[in-house]
Amino acid sequence: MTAEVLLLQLANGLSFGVIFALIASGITLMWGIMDFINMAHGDLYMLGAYGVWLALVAGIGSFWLALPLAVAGVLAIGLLLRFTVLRPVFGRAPLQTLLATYGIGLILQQAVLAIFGPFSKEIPLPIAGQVTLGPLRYPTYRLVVIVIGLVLIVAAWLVIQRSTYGIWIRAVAQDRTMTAALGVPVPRVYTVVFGLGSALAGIGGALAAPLFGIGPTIGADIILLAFIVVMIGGLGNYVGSVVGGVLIGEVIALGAIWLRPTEAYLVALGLLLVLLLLRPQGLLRGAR
Amino acid sequence: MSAARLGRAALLLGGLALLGGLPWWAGAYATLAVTAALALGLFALSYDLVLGVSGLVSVSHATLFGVGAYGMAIGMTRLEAGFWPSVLLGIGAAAALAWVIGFFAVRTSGPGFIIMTVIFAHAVESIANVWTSLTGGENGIILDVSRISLVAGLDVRFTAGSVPAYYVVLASLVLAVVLCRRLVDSRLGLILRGISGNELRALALGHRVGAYKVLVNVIAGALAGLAGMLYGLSQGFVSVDLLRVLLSVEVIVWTILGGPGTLIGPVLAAVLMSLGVDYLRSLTHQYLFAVGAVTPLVVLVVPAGLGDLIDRLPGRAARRARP
Repeated sequence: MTAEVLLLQLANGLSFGVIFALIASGITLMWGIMDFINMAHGDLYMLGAYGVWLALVAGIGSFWLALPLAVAGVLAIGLLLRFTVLRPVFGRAPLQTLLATYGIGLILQQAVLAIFGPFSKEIPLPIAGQVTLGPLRYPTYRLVVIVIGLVLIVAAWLVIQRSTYGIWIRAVAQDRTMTAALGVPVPRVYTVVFGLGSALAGIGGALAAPLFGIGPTIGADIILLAFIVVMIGGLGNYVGSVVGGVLIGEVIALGAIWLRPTEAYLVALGLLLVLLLLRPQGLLRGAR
Repeated sequence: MSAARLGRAALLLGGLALLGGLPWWAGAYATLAVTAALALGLFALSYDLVLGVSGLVSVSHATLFGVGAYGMAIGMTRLEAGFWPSVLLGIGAAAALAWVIGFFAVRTSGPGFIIMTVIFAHAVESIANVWTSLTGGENGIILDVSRISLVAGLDVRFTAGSVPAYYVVLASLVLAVVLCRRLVDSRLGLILRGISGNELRALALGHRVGAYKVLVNVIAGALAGLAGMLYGLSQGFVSVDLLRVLLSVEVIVWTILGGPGTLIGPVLAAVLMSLGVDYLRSLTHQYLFAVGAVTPLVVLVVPAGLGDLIDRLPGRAARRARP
């Protein structure tokens, strides 16, 4: 193994990592703010990937036009779920949200399977060439994914830290009853968080589509890694999910040099188990 | 003996008589289907110890069910061990994995327990899907059940769909219900119910809550492993479908519908619902839509079980309100 391969995989790890972080941050926010375990989150990611593919097949010429369309579609589906089936589930025990969201995820998966079939789809890389970064020639699209991912992660963080909704979000996470008593529209905060999480998962799926391929079960595959990331970062901790995402991305990418994908997943799981022995609360402390 | 107790005893005896005579009044196919459903009933019974009695939400119970079945299947085919050593291997594998999952899950706080079980369940399913040389993947491992003699001298043959197979599963289930009832009434059961009722209080009383949570997961895991083996034996093969997260979610639904903590309720719900899903599967390939729709519905409509729903029916509410 040369230093070049190592550098390449480190860069790949960063591109995986931002995608994992986009998904995991939604899960962690939904838990931290409204005690909501979203088992359907991976399926929103899957819908993001299918959305891009569908838009391209339908004749939208450019990936960069298909991407916002797909994300808007996932956001619409997420909000539709939030206002219909999931509406009575908010505020209930984790067991109940888990079952409700699992059932919805299963229906989404089966619907995609019934409509588009079991075979995986592929879309070409939106940007073909490579760029030279010092000693490394790196695929431009992956670099773009890293940049977009990092920008979104920082933007979402700024929203949480600086905007009025962000202040409300953090207040609801700390004390829901008191926040509601002070006049903050808690249901609207839920809508914003659920929408933000859904959109981030959709963007993650759309960006990952040209890299990882598209199939009905990609959501179920990614949810394992997303949950590992969330636990590593500390459940409910936004920055933790980003750090955990990048860490697991690097583990998977470096693991790929020697291991098959499932074996690399197991290394990620092993990392979580070791961390649980040393720091049961996660890398960074959870929201509460 | 009050009239209610007499009625319940009559119901129980009637039900047992009906089940006991089933191979005579039902066809071979129905016997096979009910054998499998009863094994799933045993599986639901074991899960009720976790969810109903101890109040723990685990999403990895089918993982233990499947690992138990695979432990036995691998022992019998790949390792060419005898039948009983393979059974021990299966139960041991399920109990060991239950300990590992429990050990790591109790180290986390809040819903971390649930998420750790989700992670383990997904991880084992991924491994089983990929490691096809060991598991046989979707095709599974075929068990040559016709060669299994349960008792050396008596030579009771265990064949898929046979009458002896049916009675072995039924007897295991009845025995397990009695044993679980005794466990719930024992000192250990009291502590587990105490943890379920108020974890902080149980902790303050000096009970090692974490250790008890792991213990109940191991006991229930061993029982789930046994159920998985009986299911595999009744079908004649073991496949990756037995350890899917989907089955873990289904057993939660059965337990909630049947009434968590009632032991017999989840068994009945599991038997009836798995027979129902079996029937649906024979009608359409899209039966998973129904499973996906029922899961949220259960949460929204009957979060405390069908028994509670009956109690809430108009006219009965007044009766319950009386002290």
